[in-house]
Amino acid sequence: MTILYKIYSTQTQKLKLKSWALLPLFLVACYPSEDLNVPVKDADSIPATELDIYIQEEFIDKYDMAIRYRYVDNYVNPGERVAPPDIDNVRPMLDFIEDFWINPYLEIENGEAFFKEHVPPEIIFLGGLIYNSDGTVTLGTADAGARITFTNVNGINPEDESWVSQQLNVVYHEFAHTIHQRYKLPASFETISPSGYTSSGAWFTLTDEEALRRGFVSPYATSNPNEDFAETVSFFLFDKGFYENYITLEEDCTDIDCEERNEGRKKINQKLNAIIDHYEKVVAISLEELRAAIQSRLG
Amino acid sequence: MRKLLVYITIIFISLGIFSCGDDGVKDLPTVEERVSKAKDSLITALIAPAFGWKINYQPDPNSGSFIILMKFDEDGNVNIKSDVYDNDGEFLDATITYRIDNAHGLELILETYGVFHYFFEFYNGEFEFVLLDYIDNNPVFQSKSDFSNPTILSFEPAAENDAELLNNEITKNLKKTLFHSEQLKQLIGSNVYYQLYLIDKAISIFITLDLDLRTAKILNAAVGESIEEINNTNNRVDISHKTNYTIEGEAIVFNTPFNFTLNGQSILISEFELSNFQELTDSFCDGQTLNIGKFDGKIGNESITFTSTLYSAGTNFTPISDGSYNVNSIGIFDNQDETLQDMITAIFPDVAGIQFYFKFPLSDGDFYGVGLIVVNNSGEADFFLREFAPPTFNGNQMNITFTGQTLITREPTVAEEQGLIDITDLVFGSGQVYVLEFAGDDDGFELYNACNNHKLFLFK
Repeated sequence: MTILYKIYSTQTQKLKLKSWALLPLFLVACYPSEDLNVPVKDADSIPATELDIYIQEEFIDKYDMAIRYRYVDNYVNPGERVAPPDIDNVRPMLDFIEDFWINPYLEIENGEAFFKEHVPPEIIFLGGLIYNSDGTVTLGTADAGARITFTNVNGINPEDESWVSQQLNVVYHEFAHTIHQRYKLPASFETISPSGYTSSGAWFTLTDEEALRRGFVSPYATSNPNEDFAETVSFFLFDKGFYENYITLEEDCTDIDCEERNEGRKKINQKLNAIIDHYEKVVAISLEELRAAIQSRLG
Repeated sequence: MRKLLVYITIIFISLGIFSCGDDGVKDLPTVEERVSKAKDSLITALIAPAFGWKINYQPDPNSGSFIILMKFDEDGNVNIKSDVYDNDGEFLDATITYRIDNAHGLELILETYGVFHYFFEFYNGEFEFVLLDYIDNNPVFQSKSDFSNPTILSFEPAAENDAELLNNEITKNLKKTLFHSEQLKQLIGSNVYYQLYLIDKAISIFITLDLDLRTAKILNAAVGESIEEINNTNNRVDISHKTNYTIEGEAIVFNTPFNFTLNGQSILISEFELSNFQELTDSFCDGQTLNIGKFDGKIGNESITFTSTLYSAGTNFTPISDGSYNVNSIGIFDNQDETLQDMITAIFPDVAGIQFYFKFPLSDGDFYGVGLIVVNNSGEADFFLREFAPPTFNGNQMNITFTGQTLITREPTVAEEQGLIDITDLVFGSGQVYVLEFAGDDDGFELYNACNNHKLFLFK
């Protein structure tokens, strides 16, 4: 718009000048319009490989979900730098998310319809971790239900419990955001542990133990009620020891730390019940059934 | 005259109007068409050379260069050959996908993981490049995100036999000479000491190479081959020359040559070739062996050997009068390259670091001691130092004898007293350590106990 304005001004000025100046002006005015919205990323214009065909058939056609594994810099924020996945890791990663994310939904009542209705249209694979300037590491991101980004795909090792937990935490967490984005949080969810939320950007100063005493499954859950919701859903689904770690009260507490942990567990239990009811009510999905399907796959 | 001007004006206006018609500048391409054409031109240029492109890639100004061969095809694939022997050799010959974009000008994006991404992750390399220009029809790119120090990537058509420049055997065998594990490499790089022995001249040159960054420090030279011979002859010269290097075929080529004069001989070395490789053992502590690697080789017509070692004929590990050598409590490692931090913090929970005092002036004389600094919750520091006599050196062999005295600034517990002895004995208990330097860092040292393979890293 600025460029067009400058041209117009110049023309106006030149019209006041001698007539012989008109010729070049008309030539300028007759240039084809400069559409500045030229697509600059042509990731989709590359000939399809066997892998691309597999993605088309198994993900795009079935779920309307594109898988992006070729690097495009706007997949990360300006200033962030991360390597793309090794192409040999893409198919195993696809198998992983199919096994542990998609298929459990297909197994449960109303799960397939729910998954197809809510799945984000774009999944991004990144090879490494995104290191942030505050010392934290971005494990994954979701953008308003439109995109889920997996990091550390090059570290793929389904036998490695920490890698599996990281990836499942990302995908269940980010997918859970679609629920409160579309249907809001459960009623009064924010009032269960209102004083436990941390100030902006301070969550990483807490330990797991401190978060638990406040009534949260993780330090990151203390960021705000939306993250609390997503973290609680995620931990409930993938953490084998969820009930033992976050629900079941320690018996015969003899110190204040134990009592505070139990108080935290009571709050988490309240949140979990609210979340389970909310899922049943707004999308007719049993989170307990889903957890069972996931846990049976994790072994 | 006025009438003439009116006619001219009408003609010009008519020209202008007609020029807007179909027969005017209708062939002037749209932005999309021009971008597409530029991209097609670049792709055409990239896929043109019969044997692809040869690139001498320097990922970081402080690193050496790597010869890389790239062969593009029109389907968005690029075959990349290098001699980088990491990730189980996956970068020696790999095909990944590329894309030509138009954002900050035409960009070459290497889309899936390969050797450039490996450089990006570990050595400040790049995998997105902006086209700068064509020189003699050869594209010249610049790294996209290194704003302060962009890397220039000049493509040059590869010759049919350029693949011979990539000697994977040399890089693979050099990797076999690493004393350290991969996990320690992440902290201190892939530094290895080598003895370059000029057989006819009976002169040893000691070099440390960083095998990943391809940087070198030529430390010193001495007459003789064995440690005993070098110590007996005691004819040595300091060189302290730092340079990057490239591996070209069988040759290690220094970016800047080095020279020295020893035993009446003036010697200039710019490169040397390596051949037969053997995995051997050597002993740097009585009764203990260490796996080493030995190459044969040539400098011009002169035969050489190039052998990994812990020894060098001198050291730059010198006294510090205004402080100490330091490292945090993670900096001491066992024979499996696992940090002993947990062992230390079990005894000294508030440990702040490890210190090595080398001729530190105190009121009653110079102090030599090694131990720990502990800082309590109030920010008050206490020292737990074990005194040793002034060390003696044979080349980089440092001999240390503890005096039995300690310098401890508060009343220690029995566990703390014993802990200080136990921790320092792990590195210095045998009485001798090899002081190793890094190729790219003049302030860092590794003190290596060859009797139990424990090591302590210290920094000025």
